[in-house]
Amino acid sequence: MLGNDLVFFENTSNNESRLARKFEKLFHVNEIRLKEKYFTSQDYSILWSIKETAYKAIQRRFNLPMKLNPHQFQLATFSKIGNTIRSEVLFNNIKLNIVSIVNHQFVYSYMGKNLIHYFNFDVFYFFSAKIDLSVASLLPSEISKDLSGFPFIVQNDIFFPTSKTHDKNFTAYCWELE
Amino acid sequence: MNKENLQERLIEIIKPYVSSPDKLLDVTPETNFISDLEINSAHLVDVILDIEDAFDIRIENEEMEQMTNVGASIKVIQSKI
Repeated sequence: MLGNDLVFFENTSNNESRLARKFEKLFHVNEIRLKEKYFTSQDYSILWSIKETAYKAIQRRFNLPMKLNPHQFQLATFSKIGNTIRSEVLFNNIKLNIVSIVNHQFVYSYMGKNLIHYFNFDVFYFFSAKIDLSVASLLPSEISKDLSGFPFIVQNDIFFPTSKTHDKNFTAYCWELE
Repeated sequence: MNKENLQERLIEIIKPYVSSPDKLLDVTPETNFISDLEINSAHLVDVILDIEDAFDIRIENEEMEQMTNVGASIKVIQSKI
């Protein structure tokens, strides 16, 4: 289970060795190495969003029980051209191609749209509560809640389950595309 | 340490990450961390780290996957102490 509650990382980890242990539980050392080749900052939201997108697509496709198994979703390749990252995540023998767009305001990851065998899943992390108009246009216009309180969006008269988490200066959205 | 004692210690560990203390009143081995106690995934990692610290053990990734409820977690802890 990889939720978009990444936003709580900083708040709960006020000590460096604990934070290191936490990352060890979530990421393989090779994943961290791949990420650090392109990004020197300590920001792991890029890695998290890639793995979360793969996890959610697989979880929905196979209706797997929720469990804490981030190491089963292994980032195998990672390449960056401009603001676009193309990565491949392995789950057992399944390869999942994830595309991410990263800039100073957000990281946005989604499943390759040609992979029709799996549910497409979009994950959107914002680094700031203040979103400029060009970014805002990428978001669904309105998130509503059903009678059980679960958020959803409507696109072309179709309902898509959605989740939204926010904490101080950070907002995370994710939604299923089909 | 018997299962009851382990369950009590485990409840103490998970308490800070549970939104409402009422959720801990009827904990059974089947109580699920995610669906019953509504512990988010980031905090679930905290629970794992706190268990490691409290029992001075190391929980491997494969074991972490199994620890979705109280009973399964007690089983993993018991196998290590």
